[in-house]
Amino acid sequence: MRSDHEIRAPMALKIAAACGLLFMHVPILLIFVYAFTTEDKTFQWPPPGYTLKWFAVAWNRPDVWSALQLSLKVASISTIVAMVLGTLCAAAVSRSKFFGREAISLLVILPIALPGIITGIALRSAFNIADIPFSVWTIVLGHATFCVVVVYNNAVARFRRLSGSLVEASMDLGANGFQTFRHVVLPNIATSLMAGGMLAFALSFDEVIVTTLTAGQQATLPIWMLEELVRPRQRPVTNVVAMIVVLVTFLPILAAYYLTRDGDQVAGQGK
Amino acid sequence: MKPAVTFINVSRYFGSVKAVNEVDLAIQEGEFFAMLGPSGSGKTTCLRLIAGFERPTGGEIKILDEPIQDIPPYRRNVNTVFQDYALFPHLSVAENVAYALMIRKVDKKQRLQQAEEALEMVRLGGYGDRRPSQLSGGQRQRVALARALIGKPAVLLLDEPLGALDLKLREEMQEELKQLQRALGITFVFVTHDQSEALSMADRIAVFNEGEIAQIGTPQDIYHRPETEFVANFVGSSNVLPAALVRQMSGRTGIASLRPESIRVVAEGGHTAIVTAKSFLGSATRLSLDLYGAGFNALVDNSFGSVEIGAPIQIDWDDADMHLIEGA
Amino acid sequence: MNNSANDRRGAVISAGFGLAGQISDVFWRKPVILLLLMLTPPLLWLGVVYIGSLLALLAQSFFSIDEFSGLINYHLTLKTYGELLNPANLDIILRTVLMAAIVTLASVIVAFPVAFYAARYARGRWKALFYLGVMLPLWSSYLVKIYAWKLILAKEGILNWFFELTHLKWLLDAYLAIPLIGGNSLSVSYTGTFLVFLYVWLPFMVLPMQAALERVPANFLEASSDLGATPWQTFRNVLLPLALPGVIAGSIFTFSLTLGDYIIPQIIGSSRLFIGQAVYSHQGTAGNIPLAAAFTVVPVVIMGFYLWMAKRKGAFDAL
Repeated sequence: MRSDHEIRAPMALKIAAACGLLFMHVPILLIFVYAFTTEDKTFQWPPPGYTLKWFAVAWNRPDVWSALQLSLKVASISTIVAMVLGTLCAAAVSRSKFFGREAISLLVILPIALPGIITGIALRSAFNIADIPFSVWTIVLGHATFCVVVVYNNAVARFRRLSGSLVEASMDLGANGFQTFRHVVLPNIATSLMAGGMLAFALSFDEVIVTTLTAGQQATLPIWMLEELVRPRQRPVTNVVAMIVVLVTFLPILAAYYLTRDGDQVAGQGK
Repeated sequence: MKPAVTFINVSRYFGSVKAVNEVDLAIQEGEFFAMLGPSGSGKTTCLRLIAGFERPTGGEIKILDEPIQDIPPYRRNVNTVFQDYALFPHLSVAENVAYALMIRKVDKKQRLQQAEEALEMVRLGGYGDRRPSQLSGGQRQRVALARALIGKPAVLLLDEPLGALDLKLREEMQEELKQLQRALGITFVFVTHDQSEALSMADRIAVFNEGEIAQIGTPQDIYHRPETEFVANFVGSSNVLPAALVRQMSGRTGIASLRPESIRVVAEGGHTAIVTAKSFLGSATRLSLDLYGAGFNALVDNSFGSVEIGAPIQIDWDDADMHLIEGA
Repeated sequence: MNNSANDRRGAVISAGFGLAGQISDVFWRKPVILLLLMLTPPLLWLGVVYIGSLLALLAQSFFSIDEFSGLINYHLTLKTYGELLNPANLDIILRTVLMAAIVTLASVIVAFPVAFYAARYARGRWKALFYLGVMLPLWSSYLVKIYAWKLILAKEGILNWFFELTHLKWLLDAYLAIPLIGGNSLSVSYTGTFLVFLYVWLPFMVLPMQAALERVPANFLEASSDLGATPWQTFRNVLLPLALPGVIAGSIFTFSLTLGDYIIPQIIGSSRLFIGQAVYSHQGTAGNIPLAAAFTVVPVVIMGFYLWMAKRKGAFDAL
């Protein structure tokens, strides 16, 4: 009986696992290298030289700034809307039993379960029929639709772990519904809510599949990047922006992980 | 004197399930009242009806003669000690205890001081700064008690409060609860499935079965004069004499209950029974007997432990110990 | 704590609480109202607008477009679905399905070691590292990931450089000469598209697999070897069947995401269309919404069937 293979992994497995992990991370790290290259016409490897000048160039590009601003604005609004709606839905679904509860759970997940293009053109034709012009708000509506799922998943998981008797105890001691929510429920779901919000923000900030179909002339940062991919202007600037995007979304994800890691469901697994 | 809690024809149905079915009840002020029964008998539902976590499907509930079935729990002067204690994990022990006062907008210094007094009353003085997760089960239960009492409720409800504790701790807490209740004079209503607990702590007991009250009375009443077969079997173990045997012995109709400890082994002149089994219980010996075809249990002194299985013995009891359950 | 009768209150506290209290009372007396209040905003949006627009889309697929005027003909017909069976369109569908299948297969193979190691051998700090190691690529920007491969696959990029360095350029050229999967360069070949799909969806495969593998109790494997099975036999007869729900759950992601994607093939790949691109182009300036709608129904139907099969195998416990 070879007892050692329970404690130590076979070398082949270790190598395969390491290769898999590397495969997932190295490509993005390459972008970081390219952000410093002096070559601006091609993706030459190895980079002929290193420079910091592209950061300054990117800083001075007005289209980058306006795209960034729009992305931040859209992400913030979508996140807030998603947090309110997602929490309401999660509270209703996990605290009461009612007819159609399962159906509602499925409904909320639908926007993320269906391929983005379907959500995109469905919303697009809906806006067309209702004669709503494409604007920041149509983008927000599109984003909010699937950001709700992320918040909902996190909130539902947290609500399920919240003992029902806590709410009863609070009411028993003289707190009405609102006071109970403020003093007992909210403190206990806060971390999950924040985690869900951060993930929703990251999701919205990065979204391009639905956004291209629900935006008018506006360009969020991903739309800007898509344009650059198809018709590159200054490649190194794109590299710089790409690197910044990775770093910016890295932080909320990390935060969300730390906020929920002692729960039984780590934030983000429900994507 | 106004009864503390009154139930008038109260029912609580869940669809076709009759959790509580037309129950009448009157709990006196200052009583230590127990609601006893197996799980699903409706005792917990009745407690929740008093607290306000359930609303009755029919009937009236009154506290101190005021009807309260339409009053939400936070407006009732009733507090509960929950089975899982329900201490707020994000607050310290002192903040937990002071919660009711915080809601009433008592200022911080004063409410924390009162919380400390309440903790001292349950012998947890100085524990205010700890978190509930740092406490043992017994300590948490005391915090829950202090938290429920600080608001000076008219009635204190306890939902199987001692269930999670081990035997030694349970017996300690039984004593403490009884003393506390006497000192405070507040009406205590507690729910339990443990009949020995009810017998030792309560002033009066209501025995529940399938949503209805089978009997209400003092512990002595319930134990010695059970009014139904269910009560006879549920409260303490009992021998139920079949109707034929009862008629044969006393000429009366109905079944009768006979407590095992009432049976004596006699040298002669009693009823002949065959010993079918025996168990040594420590303080006594239990003999399983066959008496005229009926199965009986007798609790006898350990000196009879040498009796052989299959051997006949003579047993007898006082007529007074044989309690008739009319028309059961 | 004294309990003099004067400071004991009555049975009911009616004063205090104000408006919030009164609203709370209503919620307690009629819990249905609170439920409706909580559910109406999200349901109104999702149920009415979203589902409504999905149904409208579906309805559109039963209309057709007039070839001369370019206007939509609002008469119910199956003609548009019939168009899907044109060789050109069938081509698109088959191409997409095939790619989805290959990507899924490859994901399973690459993801398995990672998931297996993370589930069974990683402890403590390493476990957290593995979680983050999969989470971060999962949530990283989709476009940035595609962009990274554009860099890598470029003619002057790192991959070509590597082949030149190791004197294996002839291997690459020979590979590119293979019809169908080769091309002028990696970035305009199906292989390139395949690599990017694999890269982008890989984390979606790792997570469910890891979750499923973690659920296999360690003593199952011990029991198996205790009963005399070789590690390979244990793997095949115990681990694989128990991990299958996780594999299926992950494959749902990779398959579905590939079926509907329109951006990746546009950036890395030949000019031949995939379903997502077909949908995008038809709903664009051509205005051929019926055909676009018909195309979107294809992945939905395929996934619907796939999900139904998966449900029977119990894959949803792993999600």
